[in-house]
Amino acid sequence: MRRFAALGATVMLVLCATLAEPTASLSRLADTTEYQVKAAFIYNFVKFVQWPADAFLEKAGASISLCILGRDELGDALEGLNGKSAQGRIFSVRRIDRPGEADRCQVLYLCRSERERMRAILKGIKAGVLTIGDMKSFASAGGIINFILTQKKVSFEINVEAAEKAGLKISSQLLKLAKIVKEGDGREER
Amino acid sequence: MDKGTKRTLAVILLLFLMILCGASPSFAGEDVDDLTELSIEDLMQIEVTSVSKKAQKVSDAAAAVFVITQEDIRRSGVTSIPEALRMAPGIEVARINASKWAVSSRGFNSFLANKLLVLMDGRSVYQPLFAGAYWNLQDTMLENIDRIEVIRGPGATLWGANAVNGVINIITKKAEDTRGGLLTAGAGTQERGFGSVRYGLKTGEGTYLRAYGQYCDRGPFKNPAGDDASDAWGSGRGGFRMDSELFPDNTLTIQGDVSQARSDEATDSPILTPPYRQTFSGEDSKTANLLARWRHTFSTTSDLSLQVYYDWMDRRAQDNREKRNTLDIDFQHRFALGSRQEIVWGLGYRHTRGVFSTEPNALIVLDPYAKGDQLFSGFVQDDILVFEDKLHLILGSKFEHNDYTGFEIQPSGRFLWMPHAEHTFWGAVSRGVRTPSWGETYGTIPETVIPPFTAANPSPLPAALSLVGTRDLQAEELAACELGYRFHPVERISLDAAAFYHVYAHMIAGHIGTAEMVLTPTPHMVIPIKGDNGMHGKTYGIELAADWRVVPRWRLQAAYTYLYVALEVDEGSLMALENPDGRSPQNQISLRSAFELMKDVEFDAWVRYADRIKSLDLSGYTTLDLRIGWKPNPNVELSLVGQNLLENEHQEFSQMGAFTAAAKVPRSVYGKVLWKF
Repeated sequence: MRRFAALGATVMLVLCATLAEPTASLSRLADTTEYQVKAAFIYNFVKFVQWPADAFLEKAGASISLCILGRDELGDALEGLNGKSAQGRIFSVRRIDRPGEADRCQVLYLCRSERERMRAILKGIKAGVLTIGDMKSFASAGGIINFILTQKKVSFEINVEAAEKAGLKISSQLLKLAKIVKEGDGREER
Repeated sequence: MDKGTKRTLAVILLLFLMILCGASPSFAGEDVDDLTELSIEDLMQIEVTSVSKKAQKVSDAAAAVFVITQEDIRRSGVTSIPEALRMAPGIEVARINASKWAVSSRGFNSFLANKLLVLMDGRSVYQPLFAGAYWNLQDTMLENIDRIEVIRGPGATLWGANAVNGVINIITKKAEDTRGGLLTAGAGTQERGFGSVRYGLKTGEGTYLRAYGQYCDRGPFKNPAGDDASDAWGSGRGGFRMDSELFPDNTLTIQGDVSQARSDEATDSPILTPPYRQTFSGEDSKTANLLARWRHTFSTTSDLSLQVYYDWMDRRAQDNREKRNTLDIDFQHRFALGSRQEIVWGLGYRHTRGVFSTEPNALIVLDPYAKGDQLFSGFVQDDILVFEDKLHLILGSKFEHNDYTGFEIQPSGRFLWMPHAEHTFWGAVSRGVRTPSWGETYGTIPETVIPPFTAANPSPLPAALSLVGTRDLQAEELAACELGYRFHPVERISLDAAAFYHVYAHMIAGHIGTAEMVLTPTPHMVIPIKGDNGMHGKTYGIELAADWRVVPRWRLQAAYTYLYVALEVDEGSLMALENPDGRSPQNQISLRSAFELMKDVEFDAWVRYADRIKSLDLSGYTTLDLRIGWKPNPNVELSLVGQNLLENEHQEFSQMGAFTAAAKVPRSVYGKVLWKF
């Protein structure tokens, strides 16, 4: 009986300690999935990218059009960004069926299902679109930002040339966190 | 409620839904909200749980697979694993009474259903007594379940004997994914009270541990006559799981559970004295298990795993008691052979020992009453990439040696063709085997007692009609052809269709033997139904599943099952524990709607239809479950669930033989609180 009492007291202590903690601690977010974290990255990227003047309507409150082409888990997670605002601009998330529709998007997320036609799609994307992928050799194939996973932590690589070609300015704050890749890097990788 | 009121309510509900769908902002992905507040530097520090390769592989499998996710379980409002299985097409779930379920795949449903293999985190819950599963003992904290993979058809190649018509794979979350605390509590009309607590933490670099405890108390149903079926029950359970990445590329999982279930349990058994049938009550079961699994990863295409588990059970009913100890060792190795072939092979050994003791006056007897069995098994499977990424050929076979029928081979050949990202076709030809159970081989199991001095039994002694096991039984054999198609035109819509044709041979039936006089416990006649392999038959059917995310916050899921069963017996044989229609409904429909009413309010509905079961003289039924969930903050969830709302009560099954009495499933309501800390 005494043992139960001791156990009960311990449980209560743990409870109190946990409750006293500030809520937005990292540990509480621990069981979030990879894709929710990656979606939050994409939300943040937008703050560090400057689009060419003509890519946005120059009025306050204009939306950032985030387009999803294809299908994968991150594509699904991105739908959660719809309606959120970043730097006064509201995310409008939509799914597109053809690469041609990407011209009206500021951000294009290319899903893993499009892997086989990735190079062809990237070639056809016009300037002013931030292309993001989550698959091997996406950045070296001409995509701008690609996610990589190292020891269970998400990081990302940036193809600076591709960004320049697209007329996008990426803040040095973001670049210093990224792994920089060049066109054609690691093409022979799996 | 009269029809008019019902219709009005339905119209109001529909209008309400339509108005809400029209409203614009999306609230899906609530967790993203928390995460977006973090900086990129912070985000880079979060350890993420990667979606396993294996899980994705299942959805690309060359088999009829359906996955029930944690979200499906939560939104459906179910309170037990067998109830959750109703979501899967091709599966028959019938609640016999409050504490007993009949669950099977592609027909042959029974409390003693023997053609379905059930695994919990790789541990088989196969019961050699009757070759099935005790569903009231197969439970875990539902919040711990990551997913339930339901594979219809012979899964024999990888999973072993008795996966004849399907495999159910219950997979719990890794300890890493259940950090922090969780507390649930609730009560309702049938769920008289339940609660659970879980706590998970990181104990060291790469090592995570969780422990949980759970309790439930469930009320009785009413029997077909309208009286209390005295089938109330309750169970308590506790367990832990530790996952550790000891060294890079080496993971160790150790987990275990203990449980106790007590039921008032009405067991309707024949007896030798008037009125010749008696309802026994009271059953008390205890289980414990401990499992360790080590996995070494060589590369993305090669790994090796070794799993050992020990399982103990002690099930004590009024007039019999079964104790069982099982030790199982499994080894598995996967590697790439060249760039186009992936080979998986494995070896397994199982030793199980059961003791079935009965009260002196019991009619059910096993001789010998204690028996140890050994099972040796091996399998090999080769996945060959025939053409680019688009066509796979999967060839494999399982080999096993068991103490009942000796050596058995179960080969299968499959193809997977993905001509386009949107379309997947698969097909399979396979052989499955169901080995006889301990009871079928060594048991004397009374079906009914015919009173003396009656037309059927003019003798002065009561006559027990009993199933009497024989040692000459062969394994039941299945030859199966399956075809499947998956269509995934856009992310929001997916369709899955499977069709099958199964041919069964040497199925276990019986024939009437010569009556004998037996002096114990009191003098009586035994009319034996001697087991034989005199039944054969065929089944065919179609299973459809559709998933449509209409808008980000509204998802519809549908499942349809068509099943045709035709069984026949050879001359002289009779269906001892089977009916010509496999005791399964011909048509089943499930429609689920998961809807986010508001940012923090969920409204979910589930309509199910099951066709009549002709051989049991049971009419079909339609039920409705509704759930309202409210998350006042991200750590608290309150929900209210109504189950079987359309009728006061309905009967889903009736079990023959001496095992369990049927009752009617009533309408019920419960409320639940979930708190994360």
